Amino acid sequence: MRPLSSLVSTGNRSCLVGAGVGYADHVRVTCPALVAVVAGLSLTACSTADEPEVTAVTQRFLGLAGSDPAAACTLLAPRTVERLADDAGDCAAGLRDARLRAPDSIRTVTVAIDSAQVVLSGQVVFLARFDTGWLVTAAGCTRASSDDAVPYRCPVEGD
Amino acid sequence: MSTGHRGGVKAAWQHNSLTIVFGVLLLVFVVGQAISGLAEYDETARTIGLQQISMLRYVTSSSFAVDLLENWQSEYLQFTLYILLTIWLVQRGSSESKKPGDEGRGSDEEQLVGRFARPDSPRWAQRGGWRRSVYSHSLLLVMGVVFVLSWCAQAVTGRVAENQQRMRDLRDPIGLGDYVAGPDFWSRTLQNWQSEMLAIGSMAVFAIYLRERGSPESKPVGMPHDVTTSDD
Repeated sequence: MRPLSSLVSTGNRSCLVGAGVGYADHVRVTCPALVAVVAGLSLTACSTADEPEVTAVTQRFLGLAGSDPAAACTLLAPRTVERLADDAGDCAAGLRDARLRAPDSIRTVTVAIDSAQVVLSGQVVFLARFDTGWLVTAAGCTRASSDDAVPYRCPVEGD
Repeated sequence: MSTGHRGGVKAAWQHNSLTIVFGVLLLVFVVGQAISGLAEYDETARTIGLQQISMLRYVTSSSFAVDLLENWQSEYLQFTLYILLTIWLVQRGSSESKKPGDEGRGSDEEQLVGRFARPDSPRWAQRGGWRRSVYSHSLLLVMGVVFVLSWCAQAVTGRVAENQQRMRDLRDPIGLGDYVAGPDFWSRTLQNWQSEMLAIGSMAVFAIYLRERGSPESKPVGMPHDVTTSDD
């Protein structure tokens, strides 16, 4: 009678057992392959390639928000445009009402899958990736609470 | 297909059917997980007005990776623990256990090492020194290393997936240290660990009283409940 642990050695025999023709080759191939798959999955966490575009979109949006709000609206996510239009009649008017600060110096940029946050010296901006590129989902954000679970308060945001 | 090639395939199947079937099932289920995971991801994206993503982007994202890895690490932990604990712990009557009284590492004679090795024993079992020591624990070492790597990779990818959600919620992203000390990491980890302990613990007990004719995971159908192995 074989215990359950023998199921492991059967299922992974190519990793573990030297008996039988060709198993030594399996050891050399299968074990590194398994480790490589796990290491490869870890690489999905790497996303620094998007940081330059996220930074550029943020600076362009904040630069246009005061001088050309209609152009700045083209850099906003659809839900954010809808929210501004609902609140102020149209997106450009909503942006003017929000009175966003001009782009300050950037402190940190964080990208995770299709979301991003840019922390500037006076405000925080959130972005999301779309087929057309990165778009701003919320801007002018400031801390609403010292409790980390409470979201930022943002004069420009979607629903 | 030549006769020789057909014979080779047949021999490969006869010798490795269990591994082949589980390998195929693994692929089928991973593909199924990718399809259903993408559908769920896209449904959430539509709900909050964000972009849906392609299958390629999804399967190379941390969102997919963390769901995969949290299950992998727990499976390897389960077998690592079982391999380790069954050296010293027993369950009378279970086909998954050694007999009471047989606890421990076993003698060189029982383990077929050193001068007791057979001519066809693995080379490192025939030799002494560090090679035999390493080979004597190679199963536990490999399973343990894969568990640790998978768990670490779960932490790395889980942090990214968590940060994506936090930024969608207009919250600050967190570092790796805060993530592994936080609820998402431990919720993912412990919900898998508890289910693995339940499955293997109940299997050890069910194997005392229940049978599956022909399965090496079961005692023979007529074997008494209190007999621990067929060697008795």
